[in-house]
Amino acid sequence: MRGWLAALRTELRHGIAPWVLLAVTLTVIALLWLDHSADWGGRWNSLGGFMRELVIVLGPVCVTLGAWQGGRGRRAGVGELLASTRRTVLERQSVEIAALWLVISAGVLLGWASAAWTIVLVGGWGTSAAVWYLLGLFPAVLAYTTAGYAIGSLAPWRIVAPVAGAATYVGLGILLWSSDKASVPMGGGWLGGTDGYPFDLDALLLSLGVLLLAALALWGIVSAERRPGASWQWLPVLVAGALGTAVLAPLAVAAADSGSPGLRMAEDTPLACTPDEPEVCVLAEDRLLLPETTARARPVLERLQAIPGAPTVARPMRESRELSVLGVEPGETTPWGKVDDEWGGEVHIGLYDVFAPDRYCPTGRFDQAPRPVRRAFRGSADLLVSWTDPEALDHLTLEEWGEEGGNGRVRDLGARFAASTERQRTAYAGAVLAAARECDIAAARSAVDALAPAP
Amino acid sequence: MIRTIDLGVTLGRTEVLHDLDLDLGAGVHGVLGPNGAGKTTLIRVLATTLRHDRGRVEVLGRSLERAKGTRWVRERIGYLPQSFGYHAGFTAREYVAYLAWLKRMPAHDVPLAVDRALERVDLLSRADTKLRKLSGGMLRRVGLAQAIVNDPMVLLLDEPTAGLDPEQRVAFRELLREIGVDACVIVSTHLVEDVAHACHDVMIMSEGRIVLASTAQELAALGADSEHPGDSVIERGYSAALRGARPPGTR
Amino acid sequence: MTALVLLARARGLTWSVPGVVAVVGIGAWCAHALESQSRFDEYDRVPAVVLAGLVASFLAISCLHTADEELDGATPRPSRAAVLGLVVGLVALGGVAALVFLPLAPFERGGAELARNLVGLTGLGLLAGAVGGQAVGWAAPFVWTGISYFGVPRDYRNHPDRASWGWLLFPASWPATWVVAGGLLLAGLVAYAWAGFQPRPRRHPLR
Repeated sequence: MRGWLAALRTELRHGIAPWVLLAVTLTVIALLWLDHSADWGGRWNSLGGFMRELVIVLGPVCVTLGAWQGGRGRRAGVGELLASTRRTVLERQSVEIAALWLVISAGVLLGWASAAWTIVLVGGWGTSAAVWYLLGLFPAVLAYTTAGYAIGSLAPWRIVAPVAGAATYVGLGILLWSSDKASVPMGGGWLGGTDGYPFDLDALLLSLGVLLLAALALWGIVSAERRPGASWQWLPVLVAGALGTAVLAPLAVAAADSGSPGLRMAEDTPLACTPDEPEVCVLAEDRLLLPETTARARPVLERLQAIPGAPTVARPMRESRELSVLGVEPGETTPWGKVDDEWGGEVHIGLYDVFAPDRYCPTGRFDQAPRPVRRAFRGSADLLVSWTDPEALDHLTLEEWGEEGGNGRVRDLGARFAASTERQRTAYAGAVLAAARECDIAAARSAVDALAPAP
Repeated sequence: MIRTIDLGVTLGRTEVLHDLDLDLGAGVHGVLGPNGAGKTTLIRVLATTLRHDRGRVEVLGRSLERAKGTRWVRERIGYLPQSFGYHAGFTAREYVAYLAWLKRMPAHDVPLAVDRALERVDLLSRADTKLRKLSGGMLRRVGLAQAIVNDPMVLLLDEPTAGLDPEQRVAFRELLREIGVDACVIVSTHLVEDVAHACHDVMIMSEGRIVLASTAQELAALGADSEHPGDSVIERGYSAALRGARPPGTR
Repeated sequence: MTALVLLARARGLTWSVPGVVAVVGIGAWCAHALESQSRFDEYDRVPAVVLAGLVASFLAISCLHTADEELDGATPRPSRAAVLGLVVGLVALGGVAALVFLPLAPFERGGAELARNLVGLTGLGLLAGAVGGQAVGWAAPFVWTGISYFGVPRDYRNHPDRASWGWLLFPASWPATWVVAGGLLLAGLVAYAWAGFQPRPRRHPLR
């Protein structure tokens, strides 16, 4: 063991290790920071998920470097010399693979640290999923490096390394585009842990297991020795790898079929809420946005409070009929968790869900509802959203509603709404809300009676 | 045929050749010396594959300062490096023919010249064998064949007998003597016996300089009564020359 | 004729010439296959176009390789200009093949991009090899492709400043990208003509 460690130290000092460390670190930092800092800013789980997605780049890089390393011995012409020594091929190759794995992992970790540091600074949110995502990178790196090494051992020419890397990238891309079931080489399909969805640890572990065992089997094939008196160490490696892959692969493929992430947010999804009322909540991982969201949502909530039957709290938006009053979709974020107006980021209030019958009609989605339902509710819902949330993107003033809002019937509605008192408007809103809840077309049409007559 | 004046070569930070003066005519000239003495560097400069940093080099009366002179010289020299790569899929005949073409031999002369060169190195029977199937010694002889295919006026050989068996080495020395009648042959070697039996004169190099230029007989005489290490008089003479060149107190 | 056949075999032309055409053809086929999928647009041909250009540039540079640089250096033939002519010939062949297999109109991301990328990457490989040796010559186009591929986002129009270094990913209708690619080829040809590829950096051409 000591000899193996000494050989490892030499390999780390004098091989391609320092260049690899620099290249991998710079690559990860560039990918994290160049255009995608908003994807993970301020959130540990999102950072983990993003790093996992980097496997589509890291995998080919590992294969390229592994293939380069695997061919080095044969290119240097030392194969004959090494074959006359006592150490088996497996022992010699394990030193080279381990050295490369350590250095690539160190580069990944350093790149990750450059992002993690900023999350620490802002006190970002995370769960154990963030840890699992990070830990899962190391077996993936080992698997791809081993596979690349095996390829390089078989075909030692220099050009094999970049071509193998490019082929890996193309292969991963094709697999990812084809189906979620084929995402095992990435470590499973969509694994959750962000946006309120639970983390699928099983899918991750199964996929990593398959990756490692398959790479092990490949390595076993390549390191088979043919010299007289050779050790048969490679045989258990090959058998374990092949058998393990055959057993785990179907399980991993089944677990990787994430399909749609599901319409319902988990009941125990952690939220970050304001201590005072009216309560505004965001997902815990978005808690850095709570001040902005509160400033945006509170005026709307105060107006809604006067409407009988209207929601009084704001929750993150989900396709759920029990939850969801106001939807909050944070815009682009910088790593320090601020909403960056320059990017057009804004807190979006999903009020349409309140006044439209989507949530309540058995027909489900509003645009699939029968035409009479749509006609009955469309104009009133738009008008009420505009009235409740003056900062909505498609907001029209009441005067504009009277002149421009939709067809003649809606213009008439808008004129009557503009001419009504606040009390009449509130009563109208309550009537529309009640009609939407019951999916009652007649009630929706007659709600207009609560408004003042047309001027 | 070969002249150098104050030839100097620096590789990296190391001065490999210092102020070398040579004036060599037709004949077989041996270059001996320990590892790192600069033998290969000298050969490479004369073969025009390495540019010198200082001094002047003339081969066959042409200076190597200008590209035109260099190209002219390359048509008329033969060169066998210490180790050389080869196209494994070529046969011996194809390989020598290819090098002949690279040396701008007239196309109609090439087939006959190739056969003749292969015959001189006793490989005509294997002329159509692919290089990958030849042993190390045979490959060396193929290398020799390409070096002599154009009947060079200057022949530069770096460790030419590596891999040859004793009988082949004897034949090789005979070949050198034959070529050395009209051409300038420079042989860089570690094998003192090759120098003793084939070379008209010997240069011993050490640390980038020529420490002794003499004939083989004079070198043997130097070792006749000495107690320097060596299994033959010429080896002892070689050791004596080297040690004489080193500063006192060093081995 | 025999001499030319030997030269072609010695410089690997027997496989690099059909190889360049084949790689460009395969790249074109992949590009067509990608755009025929309804969920893809012309931008999604980028991986096929970029990778085909990269592999074709490897093949173009491969004719610089010789079994023994030392022995070839001691002969008057072939001159560096002749060897560079082989490279330019392979690049031209690849470029023509690209324009034939992957016609420009009506989409972007077609043969013109492939031809331009082949020109630029070959030049980059020549330049890097002349400066740093054979290993760097191979690595430079590969590394640059990787950097460009991930450094230029899908909405490239919003990042016009990246056209200078991310030229691989920009459409051929951007003149700046041709200037860069052409300049790289020219610089690479000059650098190789002056310094050659250094198999081991015995003599650094810039010192």
